[in-house]
Amino acid sequence: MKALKQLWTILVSVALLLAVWEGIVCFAGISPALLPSPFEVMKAIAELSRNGILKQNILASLWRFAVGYTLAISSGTLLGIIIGWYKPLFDYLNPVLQFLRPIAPVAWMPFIVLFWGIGDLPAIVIIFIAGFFPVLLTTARSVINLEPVYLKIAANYGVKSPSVLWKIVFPAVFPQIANSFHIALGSAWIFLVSGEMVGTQSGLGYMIVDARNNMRSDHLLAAMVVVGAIGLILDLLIARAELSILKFWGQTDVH
Amino acid sequence: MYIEIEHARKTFLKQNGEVFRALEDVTLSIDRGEFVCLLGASGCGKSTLLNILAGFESLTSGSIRIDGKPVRNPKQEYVMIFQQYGLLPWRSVRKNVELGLETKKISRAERSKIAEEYLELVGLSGFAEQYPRNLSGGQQQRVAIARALAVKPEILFMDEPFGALDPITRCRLQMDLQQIVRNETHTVIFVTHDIDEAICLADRIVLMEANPGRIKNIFPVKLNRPRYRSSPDFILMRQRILREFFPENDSKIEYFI
Repeated sequence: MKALKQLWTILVSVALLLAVWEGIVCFAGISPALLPSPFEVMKAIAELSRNGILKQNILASLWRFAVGYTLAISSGTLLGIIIGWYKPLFDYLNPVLQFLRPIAPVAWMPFIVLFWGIGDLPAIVIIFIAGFFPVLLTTARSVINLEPVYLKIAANYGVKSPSVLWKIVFPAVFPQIANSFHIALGSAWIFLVSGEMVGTQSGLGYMIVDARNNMRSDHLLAAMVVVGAIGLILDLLIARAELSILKFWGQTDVH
Repeated sequence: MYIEIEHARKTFLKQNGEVFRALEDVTLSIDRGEFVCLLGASGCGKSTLLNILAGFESLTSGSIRIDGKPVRNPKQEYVMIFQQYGLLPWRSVRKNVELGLETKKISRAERSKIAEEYLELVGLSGFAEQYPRNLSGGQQQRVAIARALAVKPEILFMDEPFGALDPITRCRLQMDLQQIVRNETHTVIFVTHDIDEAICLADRIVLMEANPGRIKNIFPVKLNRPRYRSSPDFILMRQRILREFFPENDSKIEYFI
């Protein structure tokens, strides 16, 4: 029943968006070349799927995303645990990290292109930067704020460093780390498009640039719709995984 | 004596720069196999003393020796049980009990056997593969007790272990604890602010006072076990302790037994 109601709200909300969009196209007298109607975009999506371009670009994007995101969360977690555990290290690094964090990942683009040229790597590096900081900082902070009782128990039962890190510390903060994976996924996906707008010849970001260059606003919107849809699906998947982690750790009342 | 606390002093610097005297000149000896309750209102330093005894904190001055050796670090022989159970939520009940055995040279099969044994002792056989989240507070504390006993400690430190439980569960655990401890003949130092709980469990009650934290009085409890809250001796004991806390109320007590 609850799921049905949720589905209903989603349908209504999407229908509303399409109606507003269609209304603007119909009544504002905007040329279809500037703002295609939802139907035109649907047709564009169908066309792009039929000739395989869409699939090819989605796969290219997902591959880059998988590489960049996996590198970001694994290195972010590992380094986060280390700098959280050795508190002085965190104290010295934190000002620098706080300084670097607000710089948009795309701002690094010229350097990235200079160092690594064009191809897959620049996009992967951008995705990496976007995902790395939230994971690193959340992990470090949650290790620092770890419930003291866990450390007392480790000491009492003779669990020594470094095994205390993987036996106690990492599992104890894992729910917080999982939450940072969720946040990182969102920002990494957002920056995927900008990462692919420079220096690549494939991917959803490239599709957008290509459509702009060819003045194909229907293709452009088609790519945007696909980016949004995939982002939404990824978010739903990770939210579900996060919830089951929280449940497993006994940190939620939802059963 | 087994545990010797001499002129123990512990001070903290408060946020506003004032010195907080958590413990002031505490001297106490405890025998092997004794069950001692540290009883007092919050702020009397009873938990601080327990944490220092267990090696989690250090004294500002004075000395504490257990079995002739000064206390420096936590040890597997002296195990602490916490009010919030301190179970590891990502481990099954059995794996929680096995925690202390993993650092010893014990085979996997043997660990599992020991865990089962102690879970049975605390009345939780059949719960081994459950996770802490599926257990009630009382059951979780039983798991924590099983985990502590599994390493065969010489001393159990208990920091208000039943403080978060409802009164009925608390009573049941107090009764079971007496039984378990009798059988395993451990030395137990038990912190509580519940007078009845202290009378129920202790061989000796150490009454503590705040500002600065110190020992006010020591009462041997010479009641037969099992102890019943409604027995005349129990009530008399409670009366004596209450009088220590509220001497001004003496005139208002309506009857003495």
